[in-house]
Amino acid sequence: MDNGQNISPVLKKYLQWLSAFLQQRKFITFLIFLFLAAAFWFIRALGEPYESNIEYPVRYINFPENKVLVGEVPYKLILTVRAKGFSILRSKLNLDLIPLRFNVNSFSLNSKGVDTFFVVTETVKDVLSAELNDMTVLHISPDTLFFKLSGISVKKVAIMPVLSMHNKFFQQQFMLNGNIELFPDSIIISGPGTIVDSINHVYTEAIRYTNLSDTVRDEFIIQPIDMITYSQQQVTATIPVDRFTEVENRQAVIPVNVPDSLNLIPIPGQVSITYRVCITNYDRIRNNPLTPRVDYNNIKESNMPRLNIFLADTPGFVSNLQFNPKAIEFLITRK
Amino acid sequence: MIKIGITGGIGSGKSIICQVFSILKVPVYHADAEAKMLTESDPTIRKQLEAVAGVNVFNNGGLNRLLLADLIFNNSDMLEKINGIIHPKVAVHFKEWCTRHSQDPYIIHESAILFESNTYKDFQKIVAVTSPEDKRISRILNRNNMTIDRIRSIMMNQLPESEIVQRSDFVIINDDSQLIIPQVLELHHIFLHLNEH
Repeated sequence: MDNGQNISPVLKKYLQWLSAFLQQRKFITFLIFLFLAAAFWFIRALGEPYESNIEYPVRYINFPENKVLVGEVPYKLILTVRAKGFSILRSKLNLDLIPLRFNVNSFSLNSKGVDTFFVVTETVKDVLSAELNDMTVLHISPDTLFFKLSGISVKKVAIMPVLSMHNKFFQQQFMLNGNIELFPDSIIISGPGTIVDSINHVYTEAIRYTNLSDTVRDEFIIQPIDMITYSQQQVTATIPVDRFTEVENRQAVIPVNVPDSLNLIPIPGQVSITYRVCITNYDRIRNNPLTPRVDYNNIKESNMPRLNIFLADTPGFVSNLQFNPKAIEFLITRK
Repeated sequence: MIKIGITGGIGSGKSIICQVFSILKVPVYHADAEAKMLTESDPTIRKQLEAVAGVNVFNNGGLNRLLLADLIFNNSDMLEKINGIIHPKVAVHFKEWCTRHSQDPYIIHESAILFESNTYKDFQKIVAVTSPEDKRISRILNRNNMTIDRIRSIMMNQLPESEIVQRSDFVIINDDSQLIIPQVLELHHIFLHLNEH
């Protein structure tokens, strides 16, 4: 507290002195001349020659018919130039730079493969020097530009719905009743052949809902793919929702693919099957109960002492299917 | 012929073990199932049961199992009386059954109450089937409409698994992680070997 009382008057005195100094005309005059000196120095310095890197824009024109560029291509070249500071400053501010246009049709002169072409950037050095009339181009990076051209392909592909599933997607005791119906179920895609060939499906944007308790129909955007054009951008999805019941029953295990001369005896002979089924489909499953199976061929393949239980054909309207046990032991006897 | 007793608590998996022995062509006597069958079909047992437990113990011609279970539950006197009626008949039935299988190297007798009923003395070797309590409960829930409380009270009325294991000659662990068939096959070879000597 004592120190604070001692310092405070000293600080006050200093601030008073500074205020008086700044109000003097001599100081203002000093500042003006300091600024003018700095400006003259800067203008003189810009008149001196320097070496620097500048970015130069590039465009690609005149594509062959039914061909498109694929993969990454640079849209800027890095030029190492020698020029006066003024010119370098102007180029850094990107003023007056007309993009360099590469004639893609002429790439065929430099064919590396069937669809791959290259251009040595050294060949455009003179063009660039002429364009940048007050600069000398020393070096261009990259020194070679590689391009891949691909033919345009067209294909029909299926649309797949993407559900953003979470705990509260459905209201309690409700579930998806069968498959989501999409209209249309497929679209025509077009684009570079190499990309089109690799696409088997396109996907909807994530379908998000909360507490669904009834069937809904809505429009969803199809997720775009770079360089690919779609015949339509949206799809109508019908999401069937119904109340479900959980079913649990015990069924005999049926061995399949057993050679005629052998018996495969599952131990235990029955397993418990638990699944969810919508009320509207309950009668269908009750009339055709799910049959758990084990496959003799899996003994050779897995060489394991237990065989996994599976269903020959799980109906689409059944979910959360579980077996207890999931795998069974077995004995093989001769007939 | 050697007589082997298989025992274990409710849900331990005795039946599945016996199923494997059956596949190996070993005769298996299911004492609990046979006792139920005799209770339903033997007129002497029926008369004696009605005398002890009342005429309502049979309804619509069949045994009222729920009523019988309630009568013997927590009533050791009643349990003793009913066992005194049924067990001797089952013992006679088992003796006749053994005669029919005298040519077999060994037979299996499956019973949940082998020690409780003192019938263990009739067997050369005893096999205990054990399983963790949660697995046992899960199995019973899968096959019966019992509540967990009911299952636990039945378990409490049976011999503790540790005592069954201690008093048995062999143990089969049926915990869903260890394979049961190799355990049964090993015992099968032991029992065949015992018979040869």
